[in-house]
Amino acid sequence: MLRLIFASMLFISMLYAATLSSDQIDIEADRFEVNISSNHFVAQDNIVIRQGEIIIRAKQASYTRAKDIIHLLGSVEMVYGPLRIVCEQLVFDRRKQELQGSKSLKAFYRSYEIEGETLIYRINQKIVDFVGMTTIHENKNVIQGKDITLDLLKNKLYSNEKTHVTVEKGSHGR
Amino acid sequence: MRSKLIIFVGFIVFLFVVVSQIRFTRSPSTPQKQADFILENSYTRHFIKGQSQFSLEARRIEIFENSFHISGAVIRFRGGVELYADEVQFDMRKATLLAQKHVVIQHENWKYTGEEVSYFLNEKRFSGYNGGRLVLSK
Repeated sequence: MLRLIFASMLFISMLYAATLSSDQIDIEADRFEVNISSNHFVAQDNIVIRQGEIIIRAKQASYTRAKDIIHLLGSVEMVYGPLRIVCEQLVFDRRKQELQGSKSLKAFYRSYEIEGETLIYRINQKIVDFVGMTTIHENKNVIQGKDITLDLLKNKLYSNEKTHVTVEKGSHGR
Repeated sequence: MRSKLIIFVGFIVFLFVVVSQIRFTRSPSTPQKQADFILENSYTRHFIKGQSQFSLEARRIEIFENSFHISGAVIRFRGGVELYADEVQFDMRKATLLAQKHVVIQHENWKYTGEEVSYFLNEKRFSGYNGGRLVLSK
């Protein structure tokens, strides 16, 4: 019984520690403009944003406390483990823990190169939704579909019901 | 042989005379303005009143006619903003603080660290230069 209580306490404390680290966001930049009364900041040049294991680089970032959203512009690159996203515009909703990328959007995941119009990355669920027409390149194979989802936990790509395009790692053209 | 020795000694004497005449002049340093008051080891809290109001603790405060030079500063503003820096120049006419070296500014859910900051008191905003870091907590 004591062991069970100890184990559960340890689990809860570990969970709490993990939550703390992922809640905190660290922004480095060459220049900052911070407005204290409106709780708004603009960061410029050589921006590096870190949250947990996620790293985002961009040329410009702005944040408003009221919305708790960070807007990133210019040569945006997000890296999270084997997933790399490049685009020109990225919106980071801290409340929803969602990233929305658009403009010149490309995602790289293991051997896949995915081009799309917009993506929504749900951080906690570890799911990336590619909204609109999406093209997947894997070696010489090209697959096109609409509204494709990349599940990072299951290591799987799948489309919505309309297109019925399913690409599973290991079963496609290998 | 003797004449050579005389010439050598004469040459050494000549060199000594020449070198002793040279004055190593320094470029005149800009005269430093004398502070009207200096408060040293003044880790008591001072309240700056007037158009810009804040409380101040510091290792050394030099008070000039229209400015303060503060070393080892801890400045607390209304609304809970705190500023720490090794050196701070407070321009009373412009209501600005120029904070340098190990600058930390913190408020409720964020903390800024950098090396150079201009803080505009009336607008309640600041600009960080030459690299900085902002940490947002939830």
